[in-house]
Amino acid sequence: MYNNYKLLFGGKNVKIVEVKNLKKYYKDVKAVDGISFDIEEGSIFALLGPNGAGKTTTVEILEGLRKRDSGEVKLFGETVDDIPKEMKKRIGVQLQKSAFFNYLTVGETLSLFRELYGRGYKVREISEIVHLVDKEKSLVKNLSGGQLQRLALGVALINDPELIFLDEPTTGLDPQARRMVWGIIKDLKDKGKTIFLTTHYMEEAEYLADVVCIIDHGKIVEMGRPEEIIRRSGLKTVIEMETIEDFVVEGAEKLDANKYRLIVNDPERVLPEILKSGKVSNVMIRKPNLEDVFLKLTGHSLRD
Amino acid sequence: MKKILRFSLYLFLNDYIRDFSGSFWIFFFPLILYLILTSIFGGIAEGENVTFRIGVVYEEKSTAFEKMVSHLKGEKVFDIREYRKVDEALKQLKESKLDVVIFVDKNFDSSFTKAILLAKTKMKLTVPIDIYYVPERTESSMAKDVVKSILKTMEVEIWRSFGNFKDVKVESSLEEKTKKFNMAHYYFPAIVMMTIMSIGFFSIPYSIAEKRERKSTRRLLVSPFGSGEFILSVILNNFLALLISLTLLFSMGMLFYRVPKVILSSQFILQIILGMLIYSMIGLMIVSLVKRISTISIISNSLFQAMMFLGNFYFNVLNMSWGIRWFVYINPATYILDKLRGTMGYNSYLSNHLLVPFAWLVLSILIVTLNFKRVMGVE
Repeated sequence: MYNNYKLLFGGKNVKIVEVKNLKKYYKDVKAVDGISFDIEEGSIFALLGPNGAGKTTTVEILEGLRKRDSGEVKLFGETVDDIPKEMKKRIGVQLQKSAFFNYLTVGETLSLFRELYGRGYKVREISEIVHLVDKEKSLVKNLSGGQLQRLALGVALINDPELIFLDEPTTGLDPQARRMVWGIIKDLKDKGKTIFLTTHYMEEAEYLADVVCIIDHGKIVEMGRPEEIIRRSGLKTVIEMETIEDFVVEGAEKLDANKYRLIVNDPERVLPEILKSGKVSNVMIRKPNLEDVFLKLTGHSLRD
Repeated sequence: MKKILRFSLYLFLNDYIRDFSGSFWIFFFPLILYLILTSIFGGIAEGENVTFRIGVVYEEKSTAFEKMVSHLKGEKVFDIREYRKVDEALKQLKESKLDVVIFVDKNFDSSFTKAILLAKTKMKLTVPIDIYYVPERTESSMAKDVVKSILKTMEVEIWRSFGNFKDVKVESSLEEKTKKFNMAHYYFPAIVMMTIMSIGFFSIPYSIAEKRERKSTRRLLVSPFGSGEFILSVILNNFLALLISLTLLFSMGMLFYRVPKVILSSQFILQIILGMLIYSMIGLMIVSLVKRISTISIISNSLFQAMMFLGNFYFNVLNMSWGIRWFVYINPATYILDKLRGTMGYNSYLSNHLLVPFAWLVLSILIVTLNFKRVMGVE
């Protein structure tokens, strides 16, 4: 269905990444089950899905850390099995989990990776981009979670890459730190970088991505511009509410102990009925988002 | 190559300069252990709280030698037993019931008298005394040295007491080439080997496993820095640490314990290099076979202790039962250490010093090659 999906989202019509019918199985688990997509130069592509959907497996195959069982992967127009060193110099990678050397400073870590790539920005330039100038002399072991994520991002950018893989770059960060990372990623797009992002944060994909690819159980369930995906889903309105004890809203998804979400196409009919029960409070009506679409398509939440 | 060198230096900074535990175990612990061992066992060489069991075999009654022995019998440090037959005494020596056996030839008295008479004319004659000892046994070697020095002193004293010749000096012929025993010298190659083994069993596998477990290696693999370059860097980094550690150890040995300069000879250094290569590969072999750092810790510690205590490091293990002794003979440390001690002038009791160490080297290279990708923790 999505094999020939055409991107029309401000890219430069040059395909940097081409993936065709990619498969990776572990015994009985189909981690990646025949997915296909293209990424155009200068765009942000987000692979969105819950934990265990196959996002990291996919990105690690593209990065060369895992072998695929079948399918084709093209980077910069070349079919690749083992990514050659010269091509690695054009790629930046932020892994989901990657520790650096505890007893090196931020500046030394950036300098080390710059030497490994043999090209790229000066340490100070990257420190400025990822807002770590005042931490350049701090040991890695003394950094906070947010600072570590920004260091990982800095290392991913040190070689001035054309293609950047970011695997859940904001997981575990507080909202302020997350916003800071989003700002950095937006700036990278403005500089013409192509970004492959995996995330399980709906709002992150919606805010950053030109193209969102929703994945679940190793298969693509939807792909396109965020607003198009929502429009295609046919969802119109989402009602969220808190209920008083023992009251169950029919057809609603339970979000929390007594918090429910109801997706409807005719709010003008449903809302009065809910309010009439007198057993709901904090009722909120909003437009549907990608998480609502995901729920509709898969029957479960992104957080499950 | 420049990348590898630079990366090694960054690793060295991370693993040894700024991490105290790394520098302690490699730079300071060997020095402390050397100090402790020489403090504890150095006393033995000085004769404190030790009894030497000496067997004396007279082929024929010897008035002169019995006079000498009577002086020794008064000392607590000597347990002197007399035997009629040499075989009987040697059996006791082999069974570790004696430390040294002195065989007094039937012509001892006449030879001794001739020697004294000739000494008057300033001519010298050697008097044959056979001393049997087991060089592999520390206490036997020490007893031999003590007996040798006492004999030299006693013979002068005897003739002084006879009142005939005051300045007579008679030399005994001792059929041995072993140098005077010194615990600090004897332990020196053992501490060198222990340091090399620490690098092989702990520093190299821990360094790789820790980076693998924390996923640092995966980050390196997506850069243009390959697995081979990473492993080479880890080895170089640890060789640099070993070089510094051995420099400190050599300095301490030579300055404080007067360890002979032969430890700077090419033969001694080559054995050290061979040990470094073998134990680096054994370390890589462990990390290529075992994934979890906790399991690596168990295996490394077990092998390290076994190879150290069953490698003739600190005491003789060659007189143990075959149930244990087989490991001594397949232990590469036994051979390298024996060669190191042989270079220093101690008796070498093994003939082929290369076969077993090279077998380990080849085996570990083979296993590392087959499991190479597992070293970095990737598919």
